[in-house]
Amino acid sequence: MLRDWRMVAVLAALVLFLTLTSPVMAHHGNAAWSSTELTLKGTIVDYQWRNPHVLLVWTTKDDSGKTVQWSGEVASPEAMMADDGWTKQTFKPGDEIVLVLRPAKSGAPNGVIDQIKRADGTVVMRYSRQAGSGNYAGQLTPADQERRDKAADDANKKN
Amino acid sequence: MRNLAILSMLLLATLLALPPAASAQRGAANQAAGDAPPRPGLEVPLVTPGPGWKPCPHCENQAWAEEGRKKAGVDTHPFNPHDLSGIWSGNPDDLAGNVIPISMKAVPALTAYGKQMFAAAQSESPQWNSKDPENVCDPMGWPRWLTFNFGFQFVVLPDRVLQFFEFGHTWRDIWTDGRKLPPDPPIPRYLGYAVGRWEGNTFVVDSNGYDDHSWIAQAPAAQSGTGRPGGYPHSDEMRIEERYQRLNYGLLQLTLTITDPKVYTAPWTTTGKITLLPDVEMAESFCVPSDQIRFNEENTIPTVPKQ
Repeated sequence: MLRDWRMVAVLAALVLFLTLTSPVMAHHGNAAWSSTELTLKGTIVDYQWRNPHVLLVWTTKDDSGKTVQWSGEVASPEAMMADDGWTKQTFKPGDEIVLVLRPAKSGAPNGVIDQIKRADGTVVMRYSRQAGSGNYAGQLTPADQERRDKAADDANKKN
Repeated sequence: MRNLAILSMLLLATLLALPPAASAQRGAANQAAGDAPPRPGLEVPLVTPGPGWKPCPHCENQAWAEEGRKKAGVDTHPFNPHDLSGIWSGNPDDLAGNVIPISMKAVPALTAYGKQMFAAAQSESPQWNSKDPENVCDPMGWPRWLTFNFGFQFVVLPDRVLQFFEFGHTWRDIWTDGRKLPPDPPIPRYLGYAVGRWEGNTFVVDSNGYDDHSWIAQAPAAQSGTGRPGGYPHSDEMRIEERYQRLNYGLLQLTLTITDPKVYTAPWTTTGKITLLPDVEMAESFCVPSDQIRFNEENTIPTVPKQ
């Protein structure tokens, strides 16, 4: 009996893994991004509202207090307009934001953005089409959100 | 106990047979009801350029597409089966997604020449499809333009049917004036030479004369045999038959068969349904080489681990 249930658990884990790592076909794959989320507080330097994907450029302070410039992508302008009501005026240089992103596997300060809030906690992007499977709408559980909210609070307090 | 194990295997097989969960440009589809978080798009006001301006397929999300279809009564609205006019975008499983993905389950075996082309299209990196013509905004070609993002508009004229595509902001002529396909097309074309005719209520499009620089579809890393992504090629001898049938006001059935004996040992058939998005307009979605190349250099290539 125990062995059978163990097998069911292993199979269920396998199914979950395969479901969350289904191939992504788009402008570019997302295989270059880490699966680990990083939460950063940043100050907008540039907001590139254009195809193929909207880009945010921001500075953030690393653990040693050094300022690092990051960039991260979301979906296309029209997808961002449809999903989150973004326009060309959504961000301006100097805006304070807190981002959840999955950084590049290469170690470059670059990532695909999963969620964005303003420093006051206002949600600007709750989910991301661009983040692909496993991290987008419908797969973000209340527990995930709670974890993200806590990370965002910690990031806000840090700098 | 044995039954339980068999049941588990069946469950696994069923789940594995489901389509991929998402693509980066696909909408928020198939979200379960109940305690799942609200779908994006229900949380924000609709943004349009101003009064009288409509949203577009590309900026439609699942919720708005559902609303538009419901408002138009797509299941019961009267229709003329010989009028294919309208904006067709997405599919019943994902109204904000791509029209119809080429079937990856039906990929035929490659010929020796096909294997050479397939190998030449393999990327250098497992993480980035470096040889994808789309990286530099080269034309997607046919049938990739059909399957890539955001749908198309059929415009029916007396002598031809125009098929406009949102991505790339381009079009194809399907001639219905009785001309035949050129037996030896003088210039290869990314969108080929296409003629259409009616067989009962089915609009049949035959085409040939394709430029072999484009891909049929991306080849996912998991299917390439090398762990690196690439593309499914075709030759200049590829012929394609498309059979469009309007099932009701809001649904178009398509069967697309690729025949390319130089590259594939058997025909390659994809079947699917495409959804009408009433009350929307095409957006401008150019692939801009300077923007795309800058994006690659500044945002994509730096993310790829060095080999």
